[in-house]
Amino acid sequence: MPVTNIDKNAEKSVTETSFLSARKMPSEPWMWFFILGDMSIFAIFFGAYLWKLGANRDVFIGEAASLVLSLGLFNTLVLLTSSYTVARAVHAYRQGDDALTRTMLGWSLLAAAIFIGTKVVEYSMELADGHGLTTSAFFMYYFVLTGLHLLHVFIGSIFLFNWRLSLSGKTLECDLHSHSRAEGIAGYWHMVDLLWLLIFAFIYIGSSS
Amino acid sequence: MNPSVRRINIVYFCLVAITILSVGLTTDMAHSLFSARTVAGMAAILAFIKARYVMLEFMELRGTLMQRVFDCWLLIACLASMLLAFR
Repeated sequence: MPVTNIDKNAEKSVTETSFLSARKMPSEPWMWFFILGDMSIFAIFFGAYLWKLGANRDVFIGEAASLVLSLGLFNTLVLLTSSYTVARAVHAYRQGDDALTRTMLGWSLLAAAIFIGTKVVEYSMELADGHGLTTSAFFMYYFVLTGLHLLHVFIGSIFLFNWRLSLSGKTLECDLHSHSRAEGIAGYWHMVDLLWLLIFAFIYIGSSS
Repeated sequence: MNPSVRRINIVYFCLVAITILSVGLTTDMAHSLFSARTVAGMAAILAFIKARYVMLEFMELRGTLMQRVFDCWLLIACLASMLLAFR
């Protein structure tokens, strides 16, 4: 059967409809490219770490044995939970449920505080054992990667705190009310979670003995 | 319960389950079965699976145009990690 112009137009229309029916992207494209850029910086560190791990596997495995796996696991579960509560906060925010949004963000902030507190305890234990930034290649990567990540947790917590504060009407930054801004903050926090999942896998599990 | 909230709940429990499962790679049994390279590679694969879940469901990029960009990033990073882990 010959293909008519009507068929071609119908096919084109379906293709265009499929393209346009792609789900609406949360936040703005620039925010996602910023997040990708940030993740790429970490990826360079991950690559360098794995390169060194391959070259000095026995040494790295020996030094990683002094890390407290249970604290790493605990922090991973804490950060996963905070990511979950932020995702719930976004849903509640879209539905206009400010009370639930505040509650969920409160849990997220509590989880962030627990994460930071646990990390400080872990750093104190390592320093007490004589492991510092300049002790060895392994501990240099450990402190730089986890320290850089901790900085992101701190920055993300400030964003979350500002978002929560804006719900209470205690700030003049009215643009924080916009959904796009809230989705951007949530996206940043999920990136922090995603990066920790990789750090935990590379440093705590991948280098275990 | 809202279907999207139910979905987030399921994803959260899956992520917790995979995390606890991955800790099994640090046990003596895992080290007697696999080499250190294999353990590092398996840990990386599980981490990238979790990362993709976070990207699709928590970041809500499933079905959006940005999903392809993030999928490419995760695939390249995962393959590079595999190459380096098994080096």
